[in-house]
Amino acid sequence: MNKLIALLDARVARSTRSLAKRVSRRGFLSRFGAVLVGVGAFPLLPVVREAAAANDIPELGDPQNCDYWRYCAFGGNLCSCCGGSHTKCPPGTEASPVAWVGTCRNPADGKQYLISYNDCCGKTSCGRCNCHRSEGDTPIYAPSKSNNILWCFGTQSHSYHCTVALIYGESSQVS
Amino acid sequence: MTAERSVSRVFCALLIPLLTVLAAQAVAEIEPEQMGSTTMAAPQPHWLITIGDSASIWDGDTGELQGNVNISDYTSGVAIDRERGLIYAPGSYYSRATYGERTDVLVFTDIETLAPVAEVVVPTKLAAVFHRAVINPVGTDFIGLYNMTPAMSVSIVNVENRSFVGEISTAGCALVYPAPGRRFMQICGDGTLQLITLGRDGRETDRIRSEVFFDPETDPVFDYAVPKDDGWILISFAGLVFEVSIDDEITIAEPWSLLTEEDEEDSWRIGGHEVFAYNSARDVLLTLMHQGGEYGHEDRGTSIWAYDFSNQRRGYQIELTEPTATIAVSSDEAPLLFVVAPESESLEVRNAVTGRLLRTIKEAGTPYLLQRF
Repeated sequence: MNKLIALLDARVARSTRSLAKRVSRRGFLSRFGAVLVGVGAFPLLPVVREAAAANDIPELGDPQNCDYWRYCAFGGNLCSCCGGSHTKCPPGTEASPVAWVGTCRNPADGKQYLISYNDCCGKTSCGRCNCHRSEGDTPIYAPSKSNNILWCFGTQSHSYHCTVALIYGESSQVS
Repeated sequence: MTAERSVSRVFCALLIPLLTVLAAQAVAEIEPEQMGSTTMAAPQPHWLITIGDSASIWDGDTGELQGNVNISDYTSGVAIDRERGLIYAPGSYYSRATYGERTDVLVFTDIETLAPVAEVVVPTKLAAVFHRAVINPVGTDFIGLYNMTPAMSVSIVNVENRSFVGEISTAGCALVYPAPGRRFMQICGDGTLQLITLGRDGRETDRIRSEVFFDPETDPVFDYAVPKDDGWILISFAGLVFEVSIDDEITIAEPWSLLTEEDEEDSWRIGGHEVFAYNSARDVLLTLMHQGGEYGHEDRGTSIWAYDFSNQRRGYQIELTEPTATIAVSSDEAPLLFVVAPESESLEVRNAVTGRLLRTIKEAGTPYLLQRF
């Protein structure tokens, strides 16, 4: 199957519920603008994992559900439905160190967090739990927020499997 | 056993062998059919390519599938070279399907036999993005291929001598839109357009940028552009239409809006994937519209609106039976409008001037990308 079409199915197939309508575009863009500074020097995935693990961030929600708070700008298949978790790639797949980003509000503590969405690569598309809530999606010429890109960069294979959502930090810490 | 039954059995016993002999003789008299392959007819203005698992060529007049072009799992566009009778398709291939050694190539397919006849190996940087403008001609002898690693660049292939020329860095600017001469246009993340000129050898000789004409943060233009006679048409998320003319410079006219105040009050928006189409022969612009809130630029359209482009006036409106993200229009003087119907996996063919439905092609798959011939 054409991997771009499979990914487009996952990325763009609209979920019935979209939080996008609740968040003003201007608000999102102003928040995103504040974190763009960090994108150029985005750390490799292991660094992100350690940073997230070191913080005791309260969690509320089901990572197998598209409504989960970290997925506010998600597009793709949830790795938590594919043998992995919301922070770990499924067995045999490789995490892309390059990601697109969003800023999501954690309902458990009311804080805004910078989330990186990393594709897991090297197998055919998982095809489960399509989720699309990328309200800040931008055109291809502004790629750091664009869903219409296969984000398997820096991996041995750019065959798309699923996507994880990692906390990079509080958005206020980055601005 | 009655006499009547006995006669019947004798009759059958004689008749069956007789029919068998006659049948054998009939088979012997018919010459066995031979297998073979058809070839393509001459390309027609109402042909269309849909890109999904393969690149499929359809005839909009008959609704018949004409043939398929092999493409890779990562291909989202092809280029058609009528002069040389070739279709060019960029592709990425792994030695073990999803892993192993990666090879990126530009494959040359014969337009009559639809068989691959040549290929040029290019750097393993081809962009895996959902966009037709990842490939386009640059002049008559070159093809531009959009790269993303995620650094942005363009690979140039010479199709006359079938060789890779080189790579041009295009930091901050994406895709390949052809321009007159050996030039191509790009859309840039700072709200400008870029125009790059190649020399006879395919190497860059010049590049210019337009003035900033849109704000990428408050109202970006779609990365999808459609050609007009002297340039390109771009449309912003909020429905502003930018007419781009290209000569020695890049000129962008004052924008006009697709939407009236009443439309905006009714929350009409433009949205989809290939969200608008333009036929210059009849000067008709077609847009995919829906009613919704913010961030609706990828939401499927529920209506198609047709505009008299030069007069900036709206004509017909079509209420679609199912929402769609993709439309295209042929380039001739009797244009056909093609509309992907994703739920029923069919393709609607309409008269682009009247909007009237002419036919529905069943089992057309769910292509997100359409390319007119």
